[in-house]
Amino acid sequence: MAEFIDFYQSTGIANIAWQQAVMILVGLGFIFLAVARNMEPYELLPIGLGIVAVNMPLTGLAVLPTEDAGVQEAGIFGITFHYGLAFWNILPPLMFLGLGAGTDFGPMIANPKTLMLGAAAQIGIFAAFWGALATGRFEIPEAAAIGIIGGADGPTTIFISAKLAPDMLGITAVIAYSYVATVAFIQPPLMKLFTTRKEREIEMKPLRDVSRREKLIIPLVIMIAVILIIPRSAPLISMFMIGNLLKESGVVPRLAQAATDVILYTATIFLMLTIGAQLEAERVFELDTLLILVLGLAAFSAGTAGGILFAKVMNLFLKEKINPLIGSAGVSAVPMAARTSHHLGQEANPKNFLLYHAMGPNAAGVIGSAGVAGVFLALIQSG
Amino acid sequence: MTFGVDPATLQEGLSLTAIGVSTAFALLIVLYAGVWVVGRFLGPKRTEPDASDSTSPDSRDKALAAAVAVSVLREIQDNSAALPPSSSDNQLLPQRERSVIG
Repeated sequence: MAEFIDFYQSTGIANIAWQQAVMILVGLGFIFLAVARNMEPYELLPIGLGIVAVNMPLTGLAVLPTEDAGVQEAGIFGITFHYGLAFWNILPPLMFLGLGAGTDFGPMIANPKTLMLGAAAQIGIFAAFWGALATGRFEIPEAAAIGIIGGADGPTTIFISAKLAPDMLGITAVIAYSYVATVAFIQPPLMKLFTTRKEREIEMKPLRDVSRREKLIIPLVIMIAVILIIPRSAPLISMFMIGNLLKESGVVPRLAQAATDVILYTATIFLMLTIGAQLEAERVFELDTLLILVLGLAAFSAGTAGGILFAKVMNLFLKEKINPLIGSAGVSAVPMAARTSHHLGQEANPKNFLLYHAMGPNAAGVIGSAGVAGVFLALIQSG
Repeated sequence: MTFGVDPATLQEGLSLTAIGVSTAFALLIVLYAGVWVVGRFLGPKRTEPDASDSTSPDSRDKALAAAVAVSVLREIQDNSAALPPSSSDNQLLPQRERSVIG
């Protein structure tokens, strides 16, 4: 009997805490949303699986490798976190390689004015940064990691959090991806609030053709300019542009294919499982988590509003007006934010085809948020 | 008024915001200029017809040649309707074209 009791006490059933049970339910909720509702399945499914696995009691899956205990005592998710994010931080740049290989800079090249919308939408980052500082609960590095959620760019959020506030990595990443997944619900009310129907009806002319030479030279120009100005953004920007050039060169289709398929999806599996595994019960059930959730939403909303309002300001000076709805796509969230702009534009005027136009600020938003991330890294780490 | 943020943090936050916002805008303005310049020199050439071309001597000659060709063809059609089919067409065409057809 004593052996039986000993055995029972060594099982997970005897050791599960209520917080862990709740987190397992949360993980199952993520899995349900991904599988049954098809909501961001590539992110939410592995995150959900990671949450369920790591919150099972006594597994030690998230134990980090230490000098004393060594790697053998570490858990698999602890190892992927340490080497993939905290120590090497290699997974976000690998994801950027794949994302770059899947990006078309054509709309941005054809209408470079839209680059400015990508800058304006970064206002959300600073709104949340100040919101976090005003709570008095976060230091500058943590506030920067929270603010970057407003860029609505998952890999950039992870990259910054892993460097500046590794303890918050799971929370910030999950919140960033949750908001990215719900762009279609969060943005439309704000877009309607900040635009008149007449503005939403503005038709934009079809964009000009873009030559192959432009598509080859401009990623190089962007890479060189951004890295010269913000060297700390190099891991993200260089990988993004390298991926893009693999595609646009047209001479290495298998490398481009590998970047968009094998590398991107392999990185996604490990990144998302690791993020999910960061959501252990003891980290989640804190007031700070709720605050980050609210601040992330505020960041996202401010970014959306910033892009739209800046588009309206630009219209005061432009002969050919732009539809302010494409301003909201400056928050990154590729390509959902652009799709949302397109849908709202069509709702107001069925002749409106804003998708291609909105891809410009969308790509600019990725560059903008990586740039701001570089500024944070340069000033906060060296400060 | 520091919104509960200590002065040192406030100062650091302000400088981060000022540098961050201005860098984001400056960076994208530089890229805007770069993209515009590259597009200007390496973008596809516009192929829209130039209105001034219609008054150039070359285009006037082309239009005249086209009008002459149409007149000749109409003449051929009128004559072929009046003459027997076997003897007509080659006679009314210029020498060079006749050799090709004949």
